[in-house]
Amino acid sequence: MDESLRSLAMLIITGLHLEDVTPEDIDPQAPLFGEGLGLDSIDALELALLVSRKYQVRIGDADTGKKAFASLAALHQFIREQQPSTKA
Amino acid sequence: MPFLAHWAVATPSGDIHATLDALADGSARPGRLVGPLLPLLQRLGGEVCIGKAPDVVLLATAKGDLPLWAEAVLPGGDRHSGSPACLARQLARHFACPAWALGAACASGPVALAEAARLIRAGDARRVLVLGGDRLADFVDEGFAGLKAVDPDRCRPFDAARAGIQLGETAAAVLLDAATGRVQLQGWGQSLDASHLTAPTRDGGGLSAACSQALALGLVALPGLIVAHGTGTRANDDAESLAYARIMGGVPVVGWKGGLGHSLGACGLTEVVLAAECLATGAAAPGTVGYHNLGVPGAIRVLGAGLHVAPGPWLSTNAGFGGMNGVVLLGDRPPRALAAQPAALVTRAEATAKGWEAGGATGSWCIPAAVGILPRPTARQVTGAVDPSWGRMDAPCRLLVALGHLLKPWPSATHIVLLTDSGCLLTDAAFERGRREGVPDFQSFAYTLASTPIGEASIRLGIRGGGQVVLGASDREGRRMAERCIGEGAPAVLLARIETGVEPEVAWIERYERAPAPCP
Repeated sequence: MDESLRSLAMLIITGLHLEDVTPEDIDPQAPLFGEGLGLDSIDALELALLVSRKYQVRIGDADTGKKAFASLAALHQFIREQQPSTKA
Repeated sequence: MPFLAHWAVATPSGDIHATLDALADGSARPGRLVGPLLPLLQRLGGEVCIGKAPDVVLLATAKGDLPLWAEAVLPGGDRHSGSPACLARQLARHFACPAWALGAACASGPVALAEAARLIRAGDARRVLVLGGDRLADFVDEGFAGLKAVDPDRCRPFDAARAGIQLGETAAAVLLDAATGRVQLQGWGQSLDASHLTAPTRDGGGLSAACSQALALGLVALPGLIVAHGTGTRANDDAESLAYARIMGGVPVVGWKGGLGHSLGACGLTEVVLAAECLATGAAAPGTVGYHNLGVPGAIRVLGAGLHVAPGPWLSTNAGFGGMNGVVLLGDRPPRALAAQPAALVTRAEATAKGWEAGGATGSWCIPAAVGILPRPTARQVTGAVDPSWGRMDAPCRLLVALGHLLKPWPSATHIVLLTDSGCLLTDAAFERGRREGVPDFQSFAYTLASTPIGEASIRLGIRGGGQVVLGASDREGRRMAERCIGEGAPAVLLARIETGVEPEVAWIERYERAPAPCP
């Protein structure tokens, strides 16, 4: 797993207090919400906050959130696009 | 039979008459009351008791005197200040009788009234004083803002343009009397959604189940009016509209939070008191301040601002975090009589230093961090499967869910009674510290309610009967409470005590069911 992807996965695991999950357990292409990790709407609000705190990117509305939170890879890509000058 | 004998409220508009007037002319606005909660509750309680002591006091509250408690949980704070359990002890001294804080988050009012009715029907009390009050603080303002649940403009129940709640402070008092009163508590219902911690079931199924119970107990097909929870959030009002459209299509609906604001654990009792005053005096009901255009999926008839004549009985409904629902029916007839059902303890489990003990068997979970601290079991240890969503659960939630697993199976209509004095002390402290340091953990905000373990147990174990957290009650009083629930028809009750963040920690659970009928 790419180091920046791994650090994003760690942020999700520690920030959302996921139990018994390692970064390797998260399939970068699998949906973050619903099945799999079992994340729900409370997690979505917290995740938006965690991402904005750490990467200084804003997830302003529900549509952006839906796209950005589609999967770990999608979130990684979203952060890269929002901060072109630095590596996510 | 439970009668509502006397009642009183305090809102930013003033007393009961000033509040009804301000709701009717549309001038009522959410705001704050002045000063600490205890003297206000003592005054309102004194007004409705009229010189004669109650047998029991029940306090409907979500967080108690939160400004005091938010200081109390900080390092060096006085842990005997402001919490629901502290208030219960102070009220017990003041009124010289047993007093418990009874919580079901924002459904605390009707749930406390249901417990008061059970006390009277079982013959355990003749006069029950039910108080309701919650104070606001940055703790709760920021928590709801973090959940994106607050409308910065105003609260507009059921309206197409609604965008969330507005918080407000209210307090209320009702004296329930076994023999006499101007309004009857004609029915009551409690249910658990078993779906999501902060959002209602989309179709309002949990709430409509509680409504059906109250109507069945009150022996009526339809009420004349629904005094709705109507918080003004998209999800709540959508779900409520579907709940009412399904079982009470055509019954007019009013919601008063546009004028009163959402006063958390106090809102239900406040709405009941205002409704009781209208019913007792034959007055018309104030309409829905803030409502203009219907914006919900269920076909309901919402009454706008102004005054509306509606025949009794009236149904007053509330729903809270944890998927906890509470409903009462106010009318002029007694509830259906029930044959007494004796209860029996069926099975028990207790958390130990390393794991659990149940019926002579033992098992291990994990070794806790320190002596006197109980384990914090993980999903893998309890269910054998990984469940990442267990990670957000705090100590009381984990212990209740884990112990509950050991006592399976039970009917889905099982009722949960959670006894605790410490509540969610550790989570409150962590949330308040994080908030003050500028890094609030919004995920944990839903866990800053003593009733949240009931919601988690309901969701993770599939329990849909009623639920209530009780602070300041003894084990013996809790067991009697379980017996009364069985006596009123609950097929089973899970009674638990969970104390965490204090020494020593305690966690046990018992399952009660109807005792087998004696041989003829």
